[in-house]
Amino acid sequence: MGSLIKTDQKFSRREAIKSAGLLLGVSIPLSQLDILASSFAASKDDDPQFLGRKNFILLQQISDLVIPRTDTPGAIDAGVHIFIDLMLNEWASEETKVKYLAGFKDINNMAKISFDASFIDCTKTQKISLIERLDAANAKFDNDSQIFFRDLKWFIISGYYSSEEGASVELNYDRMPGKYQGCLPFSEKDKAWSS
Amino acid sequence: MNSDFDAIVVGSGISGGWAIKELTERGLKVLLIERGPETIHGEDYIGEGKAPWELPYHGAIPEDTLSKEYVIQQQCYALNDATKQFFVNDHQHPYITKKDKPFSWIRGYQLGGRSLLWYRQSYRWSEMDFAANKLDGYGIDWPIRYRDIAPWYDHVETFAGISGSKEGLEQLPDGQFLPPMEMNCVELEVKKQIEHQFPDRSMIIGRCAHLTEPTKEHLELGRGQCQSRDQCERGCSFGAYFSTLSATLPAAKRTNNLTILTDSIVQSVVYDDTKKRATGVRVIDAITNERRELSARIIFLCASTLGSTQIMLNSRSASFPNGIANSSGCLGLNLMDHIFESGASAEYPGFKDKYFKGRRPNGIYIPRYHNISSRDERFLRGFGFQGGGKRPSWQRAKSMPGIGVNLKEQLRKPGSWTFSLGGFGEMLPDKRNRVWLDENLKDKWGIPVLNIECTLRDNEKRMLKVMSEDAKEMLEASGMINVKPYNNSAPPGLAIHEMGTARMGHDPKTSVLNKYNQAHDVPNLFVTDGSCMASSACQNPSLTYMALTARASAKAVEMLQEGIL
Repeated sequence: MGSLIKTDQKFSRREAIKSAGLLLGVSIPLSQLDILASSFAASKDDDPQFLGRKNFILLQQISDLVIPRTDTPGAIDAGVHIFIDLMLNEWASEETKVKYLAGFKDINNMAKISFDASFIDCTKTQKISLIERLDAANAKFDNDSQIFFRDLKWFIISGYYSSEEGASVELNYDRMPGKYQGCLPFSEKDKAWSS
Repeated sequence: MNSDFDAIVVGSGISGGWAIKELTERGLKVLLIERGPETIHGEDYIGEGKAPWELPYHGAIPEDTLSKEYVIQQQCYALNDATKQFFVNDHQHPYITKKDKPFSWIRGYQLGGRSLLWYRQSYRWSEMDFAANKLDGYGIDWPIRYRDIAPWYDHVETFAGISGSKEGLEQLPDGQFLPPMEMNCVELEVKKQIEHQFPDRSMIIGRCAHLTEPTKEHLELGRGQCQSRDQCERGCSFGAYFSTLSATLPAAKRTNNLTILTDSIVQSVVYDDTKKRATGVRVIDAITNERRELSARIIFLCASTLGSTQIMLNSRSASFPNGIANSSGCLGLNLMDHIFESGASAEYPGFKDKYFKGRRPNGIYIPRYHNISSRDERFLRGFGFQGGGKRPSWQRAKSMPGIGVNLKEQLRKPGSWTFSLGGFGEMLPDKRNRVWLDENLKDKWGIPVLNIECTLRDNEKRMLKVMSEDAKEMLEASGMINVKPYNNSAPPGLAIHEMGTARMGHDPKTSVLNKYNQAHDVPNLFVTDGSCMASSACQNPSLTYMALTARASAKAVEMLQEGIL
């Protein structure tokens, strides 16, 4: 949620808490913000701006399947589904909006044909099997569903790794690197730079 | 003579910046006219230092804005949400091309112009480049040689701050360099292999206008060391890269000889048929549309290659019905850019235990090696390569299969080292590549818009093919795997090295400007941006514009003092 775009009207809960902290002169560590934020009862802030509730949940679930929470934040922790909903609402052209609505509908249709349920009502195993069928990144993208999923997957991945959690917690981000050093030791425990 | 100013400089990009610095430092009262708004160094760098998640839409420009306002500008790698204020709105600034002959005119209309946006690569031309036209007969002979410009390269490099390594190469003369940036391990390895296996080739670290170790002169202007953020196009309040705003403008301001007029479009140069001189410029207020004339003893056009040529074509008088200083009829002809988008990329299987720190705003350079000591039968002139090695991060996921924990774990590590080489080649001067004013379409200020026609011809096409083959060959010879050559056709203009259209030359019958960038026909009119170029060489041209501008400025003041002007 910290990765949300601040616009004039929309202020995420986390931002609200951050501001409150600043007003009180209290510095709240980032890691605490989410805990505080999640203790708030669901508010309007969780309402999708573009997607209907069911599509929003579908997006959230697919985001979680692509980048799950492990010992580090996942796509949901980074608010990727909220980011994509906002992008569809404010950033996307009409054509892109239509494409995403059609794509989600198509995923639901596939779920119905395969498992006789809409995507969000499938079991986790069924969801994974469906997504893996769509994830033909190594294969040929010979149908529209796979092409749509490639775009959606990239939206999730790029949304995650450009979020604060993905870019600076999961990976390393250096705001002010100083002198470039071209050849430093790297061990298997080290993380990549996000940019 | 009763003029408002000693000199008027039109345009505040790299060339205009140098003109105001050199002219004011020599005591002239100078008016700088910029068509775009004022930009304040630091304060107006609104995206500077922001992490991706701190930018609206993580830095992506809304799709409708892109397609409506930046239909051409979006082709430029540097356009994003944090830089878009430094690019023109294509809708407001139209030009005309034929459908099958696109030309990408990338522009920045603000104080500082494209000096805020440039990629900062800075290379000298060599004797070979100035002699090329005479040698093979394409274009006209340059009226200057390397020795004429060498001291001016020294002068501009010292002030601008150019980082680089001394290499002793005949085709790419050394200069006054700040310490070079580092190569990474894979670059050092490729350098070793290329230089070993191709004795006539070398690979060097890019020479770039970044302060790796600021001098007293740089520090006095408020400039500081490069921090390897690689977000230069957003603006750098450290002034670590050379721009008008970081360097030449503050230098000119401290002389107290400079007046700045922004949001003011120069429509044309005023010519007095009886005095046979330019007497000033006609200016349109970009916001109010108010029109007025401003006068000066000398005029410097530094409005960019096509900008200056457009102004000149639109400056019609009884003496010059086809544009000021255009008795030769050459004005608008011989447009050039660099040819690019041909090269190769590959993976390097080793150095898995090595990584880098920092985002180096610079790459490597392979200077030209064709047609130097022996003649290549396939094409005239030559090309160099830019490129570099890195370990890609999560961005490689675009072509990776998989989802879930496995994908996430893979992306936590950097990918294998990759290396890329992209050529930049010389385009021959050809009078069929040209611009002219449209008879019907005018912009919102009533100025006739430009028609641009520029296409690649046989020599360029042959060169592009060899670029890609050579890149592949060198990468394979360096122990790379998955070598992928490419040769995509990029529209001319997109290298953003457009030049020519008001060329320098010995002969007033075949050129617009003389050896001091002074119009043959109009002695107090100087044109020192890319329009003056008689050929394109293959090096990034900005450093040469700087040197030519400084040289012309010094000469103009000398002529004023001697009473010749």
